[in-house]
Amino acid sequence: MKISFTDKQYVSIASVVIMLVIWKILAMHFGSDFVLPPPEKTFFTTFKLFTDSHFLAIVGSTLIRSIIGFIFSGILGMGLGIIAGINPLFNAFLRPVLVTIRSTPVIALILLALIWFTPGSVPVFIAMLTMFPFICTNVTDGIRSVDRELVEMAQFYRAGRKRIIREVYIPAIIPFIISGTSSAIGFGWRAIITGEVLSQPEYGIGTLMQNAQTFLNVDAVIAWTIVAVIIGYMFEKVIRWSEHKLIAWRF
Amino acid sequence: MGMIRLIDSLNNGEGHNVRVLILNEPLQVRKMMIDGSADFAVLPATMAAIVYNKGLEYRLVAVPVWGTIYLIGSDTTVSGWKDLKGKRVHVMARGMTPDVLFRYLLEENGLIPEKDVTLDYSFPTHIDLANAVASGQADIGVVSEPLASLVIKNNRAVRQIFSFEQEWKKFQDIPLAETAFMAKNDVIRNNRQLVEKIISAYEASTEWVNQYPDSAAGLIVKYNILPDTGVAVRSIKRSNLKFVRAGDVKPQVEAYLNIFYRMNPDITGGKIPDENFIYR
Repeated sequence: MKISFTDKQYVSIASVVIMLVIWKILAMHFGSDFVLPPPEKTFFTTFKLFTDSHFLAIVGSTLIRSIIGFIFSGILGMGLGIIAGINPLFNAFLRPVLVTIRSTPVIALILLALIWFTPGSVPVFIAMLTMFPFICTNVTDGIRSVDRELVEMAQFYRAGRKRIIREVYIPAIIPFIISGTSSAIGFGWRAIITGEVLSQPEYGIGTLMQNAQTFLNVDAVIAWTIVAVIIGYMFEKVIRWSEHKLIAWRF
Repeated sequence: MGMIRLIDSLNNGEGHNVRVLILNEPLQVRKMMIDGSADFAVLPATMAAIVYNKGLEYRLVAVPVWGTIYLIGSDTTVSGWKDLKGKRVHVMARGMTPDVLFRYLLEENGLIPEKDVTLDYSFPTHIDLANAVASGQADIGVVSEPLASLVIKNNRAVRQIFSFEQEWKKFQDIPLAETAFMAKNDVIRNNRQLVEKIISAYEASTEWVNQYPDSAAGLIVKYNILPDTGVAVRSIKRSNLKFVRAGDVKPQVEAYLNIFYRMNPDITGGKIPDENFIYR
C-alpha cells in the first residue's frame, strides 16, 4: 500500500517534469521571449509578482469575486435543487432552464454581462451562472437517489421528520454536493478570470493578464496563469479536505 | 486614411506586388509583426516602441498621424476637465494609446484616474466602444478618428468634448506623435529602394488627401473605410494627417515616448528605444 502511494507520487512528479521539459524545448525552438519565454524566466517573473505591492489587492479581488459568486450560486443551487428533488413537476420545469444556461457559451454570457453590469460585477455574475447549474443538478440528483424504502422504513418506525432529513437525506446528498461543488469551482474560477480579462476591473488577475498581453510581456501572462492554477489547485484541496471532514461528521 | 491614394493607385495596377491590409485593432497588426508576415506596419507609436524593445526586427520609418483621439459623449454637463469628476468614462483597452493619453491628460488637469473619474473598459475594441457611444449605452467615451466623426454624425446628441491633440498642446511643446509607420529590417537591408518608394508614395498620398479632402473622401467610401463622404471629409480634417520621416522628428518621438515611460515603463516596453529604432 505504501509503495503504490509513493509510486503514484513519483509518476505525478515525472508528469510535471515532462511538462517542464517540453516547455523548455518549445521555448528553445521558438527562441523568442514574446512567443514562449523559457520556464526559468517565467518562474522568476512569477516570484517577482508575489513582491508586487498590489499583489494582495489583485489576487484578493479575484478571490472575493469568486467567493461571492460561489455563495450566491450555492444558495440558489441548493434552494432550487432541493425543491426540484422533492417535486418532479418543478424538476421538469427547471430542467430546460438549466440546459439552456449550461449550453450557452461562457463568452456569450460575458458579452451580455458587459452590457448589463459594472466591470467588477461582471465576473461575479458569470461565476454564478456557470456554477449554479452544477450545484443545482447535483443536489436534485442527490435527493432523488435517496432510497425510498429507507424513508418508508423510517416513517414506519415513526422517526421524526427532522431525524429523517438529518440521518437519511443529508448523508445521501453530501457526496453529490461535494462533487457538484468541485466541478462548479473548476469551471467558475476559469470563467471569473475570463470575465476579468474582458471587463477590466481595476484589480483582478484577468486585468493583469490582459495588461501583460498588451505590453507583450508574455512571461507575465504565463506567470499570472501559474498563480491562477495554484489558486485553482488550492480550491480543489480545500474541497477534498472538507469532504473528509463532512464524511467524518456523518458517521 | 492618409494612405488612401496609395491604396487606390496600387489597385489600379501600379506595384501589384504590394498589398495593403486594413485591420480593426492594433493588436492584429502586431500579430503580423510577431510572425513576420508584415513588411510594413502602421500602429500606435507606444506599441512601436514595445515591438522594437522586445527585439522584433522592425524600425520606425515615419510618423504619419499626429492626433486622432477625442473625448466625445452625450453628457451635456461636461465642458471642462473639472466636470469629469465623479463621471464614468468609457475607454477602449487598458494600456493602449487612448487609455494612456487620457490618463496623462487627467493627471495634468489635477484628476486622479480611477479615483476621481471611473474608467470603464467594458467595450474592448474601437468598434464596440464607438457603437456603445452611438447607441447611448456609454455617455462619455474616448474614441479615435474616423469612428469619432462617424458616431457624432449618427447620433445628434453626441458631441466632441475635447480634442486630445488640443489638450496635449496645453502641457507639451512637442507634437503628439501618436502613430508610427514601421518597416521590417529585412526589407530595409535588402530592398532599400522599395522602402524609399513607399515612403515617397505614402508622403505624396497624405499631402494629396489634405489638399483634396473631397476626392479623398470618395476613395475612403469606395474602400469601405467609412460609409459616407461627409463624415470622411470631416474625419480627414480632424485626424492631423502629416507624413514626417522619423529621422526628422527623432527628439520629438523620444520626448513623446519618455512621457509614457515615466508614467509606466511597460507602456514603451520597459525602456526608451535606442538609436537603431529610427530609420535614416
